Amino acid sequence: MFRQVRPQPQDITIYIDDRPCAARVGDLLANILLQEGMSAVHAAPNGTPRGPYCMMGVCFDCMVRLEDGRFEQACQTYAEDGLRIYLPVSVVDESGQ
Amino acid sequence: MTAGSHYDLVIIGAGPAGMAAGIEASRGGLRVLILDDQPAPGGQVYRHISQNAVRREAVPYLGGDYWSGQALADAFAASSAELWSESRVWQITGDRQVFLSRHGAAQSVSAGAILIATGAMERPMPVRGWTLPGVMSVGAAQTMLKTAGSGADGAVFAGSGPLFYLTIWQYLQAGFAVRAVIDTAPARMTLAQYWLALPALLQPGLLLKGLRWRAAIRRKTDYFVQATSVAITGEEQVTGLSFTDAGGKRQTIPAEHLFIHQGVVPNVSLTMASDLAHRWCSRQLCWHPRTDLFGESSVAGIFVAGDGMGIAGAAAAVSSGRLAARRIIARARGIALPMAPVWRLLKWRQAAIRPFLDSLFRPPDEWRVPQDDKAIVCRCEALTKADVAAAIALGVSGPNQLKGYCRAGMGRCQGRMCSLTIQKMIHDHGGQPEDKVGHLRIRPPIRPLTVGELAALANDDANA
Repeated sequence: MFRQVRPQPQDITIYIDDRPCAARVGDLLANILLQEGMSAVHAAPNGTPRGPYCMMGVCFDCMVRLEDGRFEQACQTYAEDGLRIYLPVSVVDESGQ
Repeated sequence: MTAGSHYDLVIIGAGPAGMAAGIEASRGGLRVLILDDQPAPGGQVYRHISQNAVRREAVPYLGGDYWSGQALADAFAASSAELWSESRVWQITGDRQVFLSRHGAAQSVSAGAILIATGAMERPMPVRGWTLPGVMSVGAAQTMLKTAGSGADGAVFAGSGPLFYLTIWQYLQAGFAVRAVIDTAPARMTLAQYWLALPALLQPGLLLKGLRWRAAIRRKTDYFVQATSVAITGEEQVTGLSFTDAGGKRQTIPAEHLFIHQGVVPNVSLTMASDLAHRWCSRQLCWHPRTDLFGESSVAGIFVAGDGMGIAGAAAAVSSGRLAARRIIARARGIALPMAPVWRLLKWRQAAIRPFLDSLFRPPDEWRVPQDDKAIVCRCEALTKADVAAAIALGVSGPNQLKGYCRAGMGRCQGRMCSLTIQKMIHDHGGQPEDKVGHLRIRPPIRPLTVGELAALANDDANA
């Protein structure tokens, strides 16, 4: 499980699959997910689970779905109050993109 | 912002090379725009530096090299160069139009000159199990430290390279428990490496730093050297890894978090998609854009600087950014830039240690092409070595035809995570030299782009 050396005060709430989660403005979504113990966020075409790998926008294995239906890389997206993300757990979900 | 804004120089990437070029060019009187995909400048090496600087006492573990970027970031902030953060560049054309997306809308700017300073990425590491959740790159571990002071206790590190040792050292400094470190480099130096170590002695500080990191790691972790036949285990999640140790004994280490690394390579997405000429560097086992001394590519007016032109580190990136900016200023003023031999010497001097490091940390073959048939080669399409090998055996002429046969390289990452592997597999199969096999053809847009984003560009055109 990931932890922060020196946690900073959390001032906002984001929703991961509709579950509220305390965060801080500007936190990287991938950091939040990993600190919540969620290392699998996405599924490959063969259905195997994937999660953040490169943390710099290269591998595309941390794709999450935003409320408006767009898919974004969790390692390239920053938290803001009220943000809702959904973890695309299967390829079926993604065909709706 | 209206379509058709023009700048004397548009720089892509606000890492050390991009920031240095931005400072230099704006001092030289050019109108400069710098585009970066992150919210703040720094690149990967100085990631999050301005945010960390305000609470520096809370993050002492990142070390002096990281903080040396602060002066550069401050000088950049004070310069007149205009920064558009959170901007994703997805295409550059030969007539120097730059297309980007920012805040959900696409737009374009035109440039007198373009400098691509998009840096490096970690080499793909297609070993069995590398796609399992819980397995991340060492660069990712470092990014988490920089952006959130976040780390995992009990993590295992496997691989090699300067960034490998630096990050483990930073992990230890931050107080995270490291369960084991598994170094995959050969333990003894070859005679050739002793020769290469001679110029490296010109950079004794770097050598000593490496030795210091390794000593700390040896003292504080379960440290294995010369590990081979590494396989990562787990079904839905990583559970550990096994390897053969220096004594030939099979070792198994449990791990909930595993970080792997085999060096960095230039991130050539944008330079390849812009049709710049590249050459295969057999020393660094990666592609470099072809440039002149000043970084000008095969397309006039498009320059490359920093690790994106060949791996040489942050200090060399600063110099190459500055040098490209001087050339661009001199050309804008119609004057010649003197002292080419001095620049050449400086460039060599700043990278004197590189041939030694490249040789010492050359990725072993088993990390370039997996030993195990079931190891994933193309992550996006979930294709194994066996899948790709079967397609190659049908007689493909190169990586681009392979796409049609099995979809390798056609996923979202556009070959970033598999092109080097595919190239080596085709080379191993048919014996063609790697530079002839070539890289997957990269086409714009190099970032996923929605139709909605593109529509904004069409509106701009209509209003122009």
